[in-house]
Amino acid sequence: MSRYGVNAFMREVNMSPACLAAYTGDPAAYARDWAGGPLTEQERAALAERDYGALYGMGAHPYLLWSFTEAVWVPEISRPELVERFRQAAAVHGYPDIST
Amino acid sequence: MAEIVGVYGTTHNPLLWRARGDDLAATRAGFERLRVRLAAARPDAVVVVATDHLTQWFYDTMPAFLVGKAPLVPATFWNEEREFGLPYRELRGDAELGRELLGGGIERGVDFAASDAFRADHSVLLPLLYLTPELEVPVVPVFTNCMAPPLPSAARFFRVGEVLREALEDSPVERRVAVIASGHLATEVGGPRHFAGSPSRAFDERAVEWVASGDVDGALGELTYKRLTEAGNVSHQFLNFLVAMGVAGGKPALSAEGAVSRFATSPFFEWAP
Repeated sequence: MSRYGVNAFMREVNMSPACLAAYTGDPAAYARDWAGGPLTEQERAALAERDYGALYGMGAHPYLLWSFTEAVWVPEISRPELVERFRQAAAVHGYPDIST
Repeated sequence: MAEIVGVYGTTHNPLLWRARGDDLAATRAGFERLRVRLAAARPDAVVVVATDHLTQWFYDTMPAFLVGKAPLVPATFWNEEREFGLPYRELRGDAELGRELLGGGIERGVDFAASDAFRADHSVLLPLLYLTPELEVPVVPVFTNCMAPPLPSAARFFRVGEVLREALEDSPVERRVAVIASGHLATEVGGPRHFAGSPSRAFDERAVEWVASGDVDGALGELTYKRLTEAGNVSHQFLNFLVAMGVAGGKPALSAEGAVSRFATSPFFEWAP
C-alpha cells in the first residue's frame, strides 16, 4: 500500500493539462509508465482502470479522488450520473483510513 | 501597533461560484452582510486563515501551520478554473505583516512554517471574491493543515488564534487588520454522502451554537478527528473557525448563521474585534 504514490499520481493528473490529456488518452500506458512515486501492483491496476471505487477503498484522499475522478470521467459519463456512481462505489467501503 | 478591526468566518465552497438558484438567497445575503461589515471596518490588511486542498501544500512537505509572507500571492490553480470556473487572480501580499506574524508566533511557542512563494487556492480566493470583490486589500495567508491526518488538535487551532492576536497587537507595524477564517460546517466530498446537501444538519446546528455562545470548552471537548469525520469527511476545516474564536478571545460571536441550501450549509460568522 502506498497512498502517497496514489495521491501524488492523482494530483499530477488533476493539476496539469498535459498530464490529464496524456492519461485520459491512454490510462493503462500512463499508469504503467508512471514513476513519480511508489505504487503497488494493485494501485497501478486501479489507476490503469480509472477505478475510483477501488482507489477509494485503498484510502486515496477523498477530496483529491473526486477531483481526479471528475477530470478523467466527465464527459464520458455525465456529471450527475458520475456523482451517483461514485457515491455508490464509496458506500461499499465506508470511511477507510486515509493516513499516509 | 497593529489593530484588529474585524474577525469573520465564511464558507469557501467553490461550487457556489457559478451556482444559481433561489435556494442560495440566504447564502448570498450572508456574504453580502459580511462584505458590508468588512468594508466599514476599513482594514489595511486581511489575514486569511485557510486550508489549501493538497494543491500547493501536499504530502511531500506538509506543514501544520504556515504563514505566507510574500508581496504577491497568485490565487487558484488550473484545476480549479476547470472544475469550478474560478478565475485566476494575483493578490497583493503584505509581506511585512507576514513577517510580524511569523516572528510573533515563534516568540510565543507557535513554530509556524513560512513561505515566501505562497500560491493560494480557492480557500483563500473565494471568501475574498465575495468580501473584498475589488481584491484591493493586501493579504497575509495563514495555511492550516485540515486535510492530511494527523491534524493538529482543536485546542491547538484555538491557541494559534490567541497567538495571532497577541502577535498583531504587539507588532510595531501600523495596520488595521481584519481576520477571515475560511472553513466549512459539516461537508462531504468524495465519500458516500458526497454532494447530497449537508451530511449532518445536527452537527451544523451544534457548531453554529458553539460559535454563537462562545462555547470554546464545548467545541474543544467534542472536535476530535473522528467526530469531525462522522459529521462529513472534509468537515475538519471547521477547525479554522476555532482559530477565529481564539483571535476573538473566546467571546460569543456578534452574529452566527448557517445558511441552508442544496449544498453543504454555509457558515457566516462575525466576532467583535
